[in-house]
Amino acid sequence: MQLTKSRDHHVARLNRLIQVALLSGLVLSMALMLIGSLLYFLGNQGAPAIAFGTLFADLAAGNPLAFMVSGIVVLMITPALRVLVAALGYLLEGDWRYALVSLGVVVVLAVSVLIGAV
Amino acid sequence: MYLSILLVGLFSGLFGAMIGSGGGVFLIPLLTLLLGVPITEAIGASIIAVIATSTASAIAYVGDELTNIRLGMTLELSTTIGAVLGGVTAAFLSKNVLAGLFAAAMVPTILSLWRKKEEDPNAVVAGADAPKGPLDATFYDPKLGREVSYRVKRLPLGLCVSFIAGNISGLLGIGGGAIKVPAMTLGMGVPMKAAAATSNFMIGVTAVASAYIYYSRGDVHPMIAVPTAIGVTLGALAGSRIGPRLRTRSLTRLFAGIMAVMALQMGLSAFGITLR
Repeated sequence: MQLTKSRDHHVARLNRLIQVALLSGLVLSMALMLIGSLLYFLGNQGAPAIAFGTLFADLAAGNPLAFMVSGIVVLMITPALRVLVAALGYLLEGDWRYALVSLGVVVVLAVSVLIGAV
Repeated sequence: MYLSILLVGLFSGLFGAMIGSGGGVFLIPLLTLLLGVPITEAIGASIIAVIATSTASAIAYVGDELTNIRLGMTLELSTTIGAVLGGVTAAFLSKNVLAGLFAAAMVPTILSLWRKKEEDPNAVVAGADAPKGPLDATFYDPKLGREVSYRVKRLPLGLCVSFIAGNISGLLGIGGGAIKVPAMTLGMGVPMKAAAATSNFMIGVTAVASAYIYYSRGDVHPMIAVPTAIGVTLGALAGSRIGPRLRTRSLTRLFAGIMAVMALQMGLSAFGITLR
């Protein structure tokens, strides 16, 4: 009984952490996309395509596409972050099996980024 | 163009949430048939929208503790591999073949919508099994007014189905919940609510696995993906509020009919025939 209680407690804490991670990711991404869209409609429509290398400079310059791309990137990172948080949570709990499973998913996601980069 | 894509996203999210499925089955045909967006870019935009809606509803689900993260994570191992392979495969298929495959993938959704019965909260008899293994779980069901426990059965079957669902998701840019949820409820003994929440958790991660591939291939165009994501998210939020009250048999049949017309058009476009 003691064991399940402590496991439930861990699960609840992990869930709260995941919830915060998801909410911040979604809000930040939507905000960036909306700002980008607003900038686009406020007239900066002829902005050049952007590259990752100059992303921060483009953001500072108020390039609408830079905001939109940042929003997309934040959104793409959010579920991956959730998997990472879950992996860390399982590690802290000493639940090696599911820490490994979660890290396996992280590896597959990392491979997909690498495949994309090739 | 931005505003028409936003509108298409809004309606897709709204209709998708109203019939209890993702928006992808409406979104991709509307973007390609109505607005002339190339199918690869429509799929790229749909994947981004899928991540957004899945994340939005996941926030609510995590609080309910319906999501079986251990189960979702285990199935995710095969789903993400399927999605990566699907995303890579899509690059080697012509746009016509993709359109044809999409039309074919719409058929099971249309059929299940057409046959869908009125929702019965007591239809799923919750398992009375006490949790034993690490994948088994318990959640509180407010409708039944008690805790529901279940044991997860036939994991290998679940892993196989998840791989296929991931593959379709990566190839066609749809969530694949229509495949995963029945596999979990009918095959693995997971109660409907927990299966829906767990599938939703998986869909976001699966979409990410192929999103990276579509993104680096240049198929996630900001001017298409951003209005799509904003529109679908807002539409889905509205639809999930008004949906349950409007989800009548005639409405789901109407949507099934609309989807059948779109599937037919996509099927014909695969052979170079366009009806406008």
